[in-house]
Order: sequence, then structure tokens, then C-alpha cells
Amino acid sequence: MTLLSVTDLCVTLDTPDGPAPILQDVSFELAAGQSLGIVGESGCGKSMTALALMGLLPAQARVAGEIEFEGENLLALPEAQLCNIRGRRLAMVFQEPMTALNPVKTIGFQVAEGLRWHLGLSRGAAEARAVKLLARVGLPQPRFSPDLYPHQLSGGQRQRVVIAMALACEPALLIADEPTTALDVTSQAAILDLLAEVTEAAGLALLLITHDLAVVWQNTARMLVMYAGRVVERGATPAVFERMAHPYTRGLFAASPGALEAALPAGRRLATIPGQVPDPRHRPAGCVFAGRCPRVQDDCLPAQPAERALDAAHGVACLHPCLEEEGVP
Amino acid sequence: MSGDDVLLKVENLTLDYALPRRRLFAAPPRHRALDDVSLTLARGESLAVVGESGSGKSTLARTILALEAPTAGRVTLCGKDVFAASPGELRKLRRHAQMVFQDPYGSLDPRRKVGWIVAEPLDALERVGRAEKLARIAEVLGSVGLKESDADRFPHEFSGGQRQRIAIARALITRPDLIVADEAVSALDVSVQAQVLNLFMDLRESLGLSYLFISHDLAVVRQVADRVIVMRDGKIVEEGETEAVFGAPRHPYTRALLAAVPRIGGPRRRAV
Repeated sequence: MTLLSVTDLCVTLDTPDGPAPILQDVSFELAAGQSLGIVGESGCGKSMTALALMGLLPAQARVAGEIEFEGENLLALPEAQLCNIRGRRLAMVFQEPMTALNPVKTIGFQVAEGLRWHLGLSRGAAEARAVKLLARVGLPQPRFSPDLYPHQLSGGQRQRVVIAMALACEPALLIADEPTTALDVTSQAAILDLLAEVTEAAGLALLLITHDLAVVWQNTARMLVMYAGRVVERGATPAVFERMAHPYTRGLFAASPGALEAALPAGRRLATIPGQVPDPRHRPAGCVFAGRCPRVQDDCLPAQPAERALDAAHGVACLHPCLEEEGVP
Repeated sequence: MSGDDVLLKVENLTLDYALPRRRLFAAPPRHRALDDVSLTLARGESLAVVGESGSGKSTLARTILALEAPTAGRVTLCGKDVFAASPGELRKLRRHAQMVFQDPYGSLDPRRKVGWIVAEPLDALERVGRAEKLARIAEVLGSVGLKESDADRFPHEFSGGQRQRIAIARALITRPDLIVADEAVSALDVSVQAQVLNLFMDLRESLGLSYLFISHDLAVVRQVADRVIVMRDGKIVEEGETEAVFGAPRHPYTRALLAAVPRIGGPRRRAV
């Protein structure tokens, strides 16, 4: 059953130097209980996609397209109705657990807040549920009293509180935007374990946004690769990694030190993607990656290539996709 | 290792921070940020210090550069004891060791032009004429892959990776022997991070630099360091050649750290 369906989502920001298209024709679907990863570098539009889903885009953003969630077009809903969905059916875990939590409220209060607001629970009932939720995310009583404040917890523990808040109203979709980027590697592993465990146990769909290819590999069944506001490659996660059809996906993989099994021999260098992401105000007419692409040809320049299917589970927006047997550059 | 080859020697370095006083008449409690840390760095060598937040790795870097005063222990740079040096001697010593910080946005003064930013250590530590200064600015901008004309632009005109190049140029201008890089690539995107890591490797070959990399990213460390030191709670728990430590970690903490790193092709958590 399709839970979320995004069709031709375009977001444009008006800047003093003219309109800047932040997202262009982003489309994807997510079924109930499934996981989807969005991977890309800063400025590719992955966080903007999350904010658009939550209805949290900046006021000057112009949005076009459709976001259908549980049968309703979120973009057409008035703010009051959106407030009923946001936090209840649609929950989000942000990157920075310190700024996502209110420093002057106890963690118990913050976990209970959504329950009281959305479900109308009394203070006592909500706080009792909050204690259970905290235990669920690995912060059991009596060590982790609901009367603790965020500053009394470590980064990983704070992120657990944020996850408890997100889970509180039993949402259908959890959006996690770089949930472990601010954490140490051991806390990252623990938080990703927890996310996988709670989403799977509750049949919760997971949209995981990250810049880290290895995190996408580990934690998602399907993935999108975004570049300069567009989806450039999509598919089942193992299929995308097996072929890496878009030159950008391949470049990103080759540049990740974590993709190497051992140290490079002396004198060898890491692969790089030359140049930088084009400024959204001056994007080229053709393929957005053409300016940095090692495989660029004349037909890439007139227009953005449409996405085409390589097989049932794999699509790419490239006229000259890489073949599986070609080595990583 | 003969005496000449040793660039940096750290002996039994201990550093306590005083915590807020709990009782009026008792001494304030102390937190031991560094606990008996010793290491040696040879000329031309690249050493990485890895550990999680709170392990003391950044405190170690700051103490080596005499930005913090240790409670006990000794730091010897180019054969001179850093904490026994007079202010004038220390100023001379600082020329030999420079730092590159994590945040390429926060570490460059937005109101100054790149040329001024890059030349600042020169103004502070050495007296050189105007012609020499301009030549040195052009030289270091060239060696990090920027143009001479970039000296007249402001930091905001550059991308994150280019800003980190500016920060590296600033570190190179005193012609140091040692660069201390504290999480110097962790704020950068993957493709840009690879460019900056390659620049570090190129500069090491062309200028014979030594590096002390402070990092939490084990995959990065594996590519840039000859030797690794693993720190936890202010102590060194494991030390060795990079490939030996990564290939056969001996300490359980090192093993836990390595096992926590997600790996493409490794085990997966979700099938749907």
C-alpha cells in the first residue's frame, strides 16, 4: 500500500539575484513499513525534500507538485490540518539533538508534549506513557528519570529522546534527516540499530536522509541519489550499489575513503569529482552533472536527461550510464 | 630513531581541568583530560590520533601547540622544550608548527581579504618586508591550488573546500615542519573531502611536512596516516602502524570502534 507519493515536487526560493530552483521534478513513492534512503552532498536538496514533506519550508519558498500522504495532498492542506498530521502521522528526527530539544524543559515533558497535544492525554497519563517510551528507546528508569534535562545527557542519549518524541504518537512515517551525523561512530551504530529495530517492530516507514553511502547501504531497502535538486539515480539499494549507473553515484563512491578496503599504495590519490555543485541560480540548461562528468558528450548539454529504467528495480537520469563491469574510476 | 629525526616528542603529558567548585572550603574537583600521554613524531611522518568526543584528542593537539598549559609532562618541538621556552623563544618555535581547524566557515575572519588572512601568522611570528610577504602569499596560494588573484577576495566568495585550502595556505606560510589538523576534513562533503585529503598528501611529498591528524573518522585516517594512536578518556589505549592497527586491532576498544564503522558491502539492517 502506498503511504507517501511525491510527484513532480518543485521548490523555488526567491533570492535577491532571482529565483533559485532548489528541487526540480522530484518524484518517489514509499509504501507502508518500507525504508527509503536519500543520499547526496550538501545543496543537493535532500533536506529540502524532508522539510517540504513536513510543511516546514521557509516562507519565501514556492512549491509546486504533489505530496500525497495517506490519501491527502499535504501541499493543499491548511496549516491547522497539517498540524494534526505533523508529529502524529508524520514524525521527524533531526540531525542535531541539542537544538532539536528544548534545554529548559525536562525530557519527560518533551516526550509527553506530543501525546497531550495530539492525543489529548492528561498530564499524568502522558507522562506515564513517556516513561515507557523512554524505556523503549533504551533510557530506562531509574537511571534515566523523565525529570532529567537535555544537558544531563550525552549526544547519543539526546538523540534517543528525540526518537522517543518521534515515536510517541505512533506515526506511519518517520523522517530521519542525518540522524547520526553529529554523533560518534559507536553512538551512530547504536542509534541506527535502534531506528531499524523500532521502525521494523512498529511497521513504520522510514525515510533516511544522509550524506554517507555506507549508512544508506546498511539501513535502507531502496534509495535515491540526489544531485543539484534532482533525483539522478534510484532503485533497490543492492542493485544501485552493484551497478552505480550514474557517473555521479560512481564518483561519490570512489571519493569515499570508507569504500576502500585498505590504504592506497604510496603515491596514489583518492578519486575526486572535479569542480563543485552548480549554484542553483545559474544551473546549466542540460544535465546538471555535465560540468563535472567524466563521460559528458555533446547530447548531454541541450536538455536534462529524463529518467529511464535500467530494469524493474533501477532507474537513472543519464544518457550514457556506466555499465556494471566498468571499474570504479 | 636518532635525535635529529625526531620533530616532536611528547612525554608523560597530563592535563587537569578544574570543574566548578562543589563545596566552599574544599578544593574544586578536577577532570583529567590527558593522562600520561607520550608520543613521538619523526620528521616527514604522518601520525593520527583517533578517538570519540571527550577522549582528549583535541586537548592533546592544543597542548602540543602550547595553547593549553599542561599539569605535568613535557613537549619538545624541534629539540626545544615548549613549556620551558621564554616568550620570545616560544614565538620562534610557533613558526614550526601550525594548525588547521575543522570549520572552514568559523576559522576565517569574514571581514578580511584572503591575502591578509593567509599572511597573518607571518605578521605575528616573523618580520618580513612587503615584497617578500606578497611573494610568500602567492607561493602558498599556489601550493594549495588557488590563484594569486584570490588574495584580493573575501572568504564568503569561496566554497567550503576552497576555504579549507585557504586555511591550509595560512598554515603553510611560516614554512612549518609540522601541521596539526584537527578534524580538518570532517565538515566537508565527500567529493571535496577527497580533494583536500589529496592536497595534504601532495604537500607532504613536495614540502616534506609532518602531520598530526586529529580525527574521529577511521576511514580517513587509514588513507593519510603512517601510524595511529587510539585515545580513550585521556589515555592512549593502542598505538601502532596504521595497517597493523586496522588489520589486527589488539585493544577491545579499538575493535569496537572499527566494528562500528558502517561499510558498503557489509551487513545490512533492513531488507524492506
